[in-house]
Amino acid sequence: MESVVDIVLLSFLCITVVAIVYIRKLFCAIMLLGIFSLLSASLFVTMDAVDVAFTEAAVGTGISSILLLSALALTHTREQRPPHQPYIALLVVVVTGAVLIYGTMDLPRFGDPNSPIHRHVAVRYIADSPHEVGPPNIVTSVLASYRGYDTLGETVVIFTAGIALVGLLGFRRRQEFKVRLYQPMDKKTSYAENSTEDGDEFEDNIKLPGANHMVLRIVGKMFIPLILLFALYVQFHGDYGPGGGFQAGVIFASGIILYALIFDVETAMRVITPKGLRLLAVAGVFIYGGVGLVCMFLGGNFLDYNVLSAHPLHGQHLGIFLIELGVGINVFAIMVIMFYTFANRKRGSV
Amino acid sequence: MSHLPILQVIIPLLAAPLCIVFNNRRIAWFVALCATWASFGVSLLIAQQVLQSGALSYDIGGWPAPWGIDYYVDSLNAFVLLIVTGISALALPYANRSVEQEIDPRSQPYFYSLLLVCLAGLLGISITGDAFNMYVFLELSSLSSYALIGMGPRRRALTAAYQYLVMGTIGATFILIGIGLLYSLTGSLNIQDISYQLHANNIIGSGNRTLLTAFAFITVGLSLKLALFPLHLWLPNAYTYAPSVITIFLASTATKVAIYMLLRFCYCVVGSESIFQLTLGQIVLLPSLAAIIVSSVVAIFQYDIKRMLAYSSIAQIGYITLGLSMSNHSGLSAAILHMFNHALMKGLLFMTMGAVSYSVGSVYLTDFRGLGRRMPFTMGAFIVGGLSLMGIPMTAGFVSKWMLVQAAIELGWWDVVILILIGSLLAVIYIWRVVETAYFNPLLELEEEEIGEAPLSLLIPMWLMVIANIYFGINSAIPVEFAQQAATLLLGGM
Amino acid sequence: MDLNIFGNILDILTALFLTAGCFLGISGGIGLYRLPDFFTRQHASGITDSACSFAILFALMLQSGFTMVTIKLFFILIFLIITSTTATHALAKTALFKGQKPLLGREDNH
Repeated sequence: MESVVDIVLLSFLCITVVAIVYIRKLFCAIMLLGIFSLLSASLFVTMDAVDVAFTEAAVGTGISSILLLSALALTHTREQRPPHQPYIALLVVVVTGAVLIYGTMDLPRFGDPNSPIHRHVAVRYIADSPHEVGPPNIVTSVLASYRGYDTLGETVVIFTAGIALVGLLGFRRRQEFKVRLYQPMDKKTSYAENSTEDGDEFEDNIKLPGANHMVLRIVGKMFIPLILLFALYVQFHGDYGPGGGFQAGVIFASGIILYALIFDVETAMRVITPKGLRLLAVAGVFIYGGVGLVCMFLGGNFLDYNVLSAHPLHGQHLGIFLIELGVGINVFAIMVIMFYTFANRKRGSV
Repeated sequence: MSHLPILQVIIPLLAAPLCIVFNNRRIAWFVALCATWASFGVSLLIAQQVLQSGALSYDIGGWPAPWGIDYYVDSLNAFVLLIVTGISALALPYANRSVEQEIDPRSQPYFYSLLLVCLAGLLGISITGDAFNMYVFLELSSLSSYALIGMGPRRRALTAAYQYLVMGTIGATFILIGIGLLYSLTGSLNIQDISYQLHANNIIGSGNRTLLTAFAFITVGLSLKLALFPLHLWLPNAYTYAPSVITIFLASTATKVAIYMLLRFCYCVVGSESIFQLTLGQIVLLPSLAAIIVSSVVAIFQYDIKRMLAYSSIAQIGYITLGLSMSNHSGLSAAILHMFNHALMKGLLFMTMGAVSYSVGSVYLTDFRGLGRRMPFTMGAFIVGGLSLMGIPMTAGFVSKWMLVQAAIELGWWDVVILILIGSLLAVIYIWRVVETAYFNPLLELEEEEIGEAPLSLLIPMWLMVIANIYFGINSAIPVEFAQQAATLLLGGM
Repeated sequence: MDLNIFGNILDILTALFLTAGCFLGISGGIGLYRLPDFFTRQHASGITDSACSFAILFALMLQSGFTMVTIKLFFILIFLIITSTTATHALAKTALFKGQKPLLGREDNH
């Protein structure tokens, strides 16, 4: 039964990829990318990698679609024809695929209990992490403690992505927020017929003035607090179930972005200012790095949480709690900064 | 101090966010300056300790090596750390004026922050003993360098950065695939442990196809990153359009760190005696020779001098990989020494380019007319850098080229020796074009506007580099010692 | 014995609801593909989607019994019903105001 599910999901995955490659409408491509992420998240679930699946669903399907769409508002929504035939690229891809298949020939079988990945480091993670690190979710133990330094690296990667975007795009002309009123429909008929061609329709969609969307606003008001609450749950429940700082930050950010989309980017910016976000992003990295430094001052190695408290397990618990908080704050701030940066740019001035 | 290895990386890593706290370009520059000088100091201490008492290791998080991540410094990466931090310690004082002119003042705090992230990434790659941690820091350094190149003053910088982004991401993905395959074979991510597991389980000798594929992916991915000849297409544009400081920094450090990764994976994981070694040598030999000749010829026909130097960089990388492909002690030490010397001379040459572009505004060949008189110090430094690039005795470039030629003679590769000499002659030609224009072409009478010498904050780091180029050409004991120790270490397995 | 019959009934009900959900989902997909204009397509997918998710989630709730899972499923159900209807509404309204005309009949030049 499980192999049937796998086969169906994988074939959907292939179809989606081919469709993404073929399609020239970027809007559709982004939607398909979201579907691709959802399918791979489902595949991860069938492989019992729920943490990865959760991240993939939150990041791939959720926030990256929003960010891509808001980036799309700055450019054309139709891909240009490439000036040359992409045969060399095709050749490279085919060769890479062939080599990959060749490389899997001597791989241990998937799920084989005797394969090296199950018999070497994993043994200690599974057997000893409950009394060495503490959290029932072993993934959290590995990510936050055994390999906590990699996670610090990834946090800085996210930070870098945010400041790179602001450094490159943030300081050109700002968009003046003019409220577009809805035109009566008969006047726009001819426009609508073209709209699928040049894709202008989309740009207006994303900056919908919420004033006329009573239903959206009410539902938004109902759900945004719940989304934020759920983000906090994911943040603090990561020790016990799937979740943690990355997913929580992304979900929290999507709550804020939803607010900005339904009400107005400018209103959202007054609530959560870009300057405050910048400081939050910095604070996130500092919390993480700071925990490491404090460990050093207390006599341990960098990120050795054991020394944070009299009892090593309590120390581990405190350390993991703090660094997850740092990750969550950083990811949240960077995601919203990215959205602001795209939303603030005037169309066509890239 | 037992915490030295981790301080090496986290000083720039945590100083990077500090740069954008105040949103003030002077504070940001000062923070970056302090961080780079501090990490240079740390790398000096590390190098001293490694020379005295052998390899250092540091368990991050207190977890022992295969379970946690460890930092492992031996004479090879201590040397690479010295190169990277040394160049950045000189580039940062230089950056103040140059960046002021080239980059939007509001972007400057972000610029310095990204520069520090890039530095931390490169240091993290060099120092770590864990394959996946290496990838994480590779991601850090690449991501920040794409953005830094894209910040260049000309609009085409964005296209160049995009090109680099596509190629670099393919390279990084290949490396990740390779590491993943190695993990599935051994169940470990620690480089020493991977090597141990591969040997203990007899995977190496058995012609395992997954292992072969893993190494194919890692080698191709790293060749993209280090711009080995047919995979170098991203490099000329990236170096030409990047801000001057970034060209100095990346040209002298980023490719060297990629070469270091190649050395680490090929020699420390598989070991020198195994069959992959031989194939790696054979695979790399032809592209290296092609790089030396073809890129040097292409360099001759460039009018944008920054682009000319970028092509020359590809040729110089060819010399390094040539040494690598000899896979004997003298070849390897020549390659490692040339990493250091190339960082010195290319850092110097791109510093002169930055000064010219600061004073004149662009670095086209025609802009160099009469500069010999108007910017005597800058052009003097250019000549020293050029001599070093050609490999004239008394300069740093000579020492490593001489070692390379000796290594080739040792193997009896006379044709290779001739090609190396031809490469040097080609370097003479393209450097001479600039020198001729600067000293022997009269200034047109029309150009009355005053073009003066570059400010002192550009000249002092430049002339420190000149001194380094000459000093290490005359007294090369220290780098040669490092290079030979590192080569011994690589050939002796771990 | 009694319990067993109850279990059987639950299983049968589950199967019925699952089949109904799948049928609704597929018919919604077909409608989305076959119907002529934006609003009818919306209609097809909107209605069947809500009903389909309701049916499938209800079937799953029957299977999970009185556990935490059922409560979670219940919340998902409420969430889906509200958000998917809102999304349909917002899409239709936007389309209307952007000048998409509903297809009214043959004479309405389309």
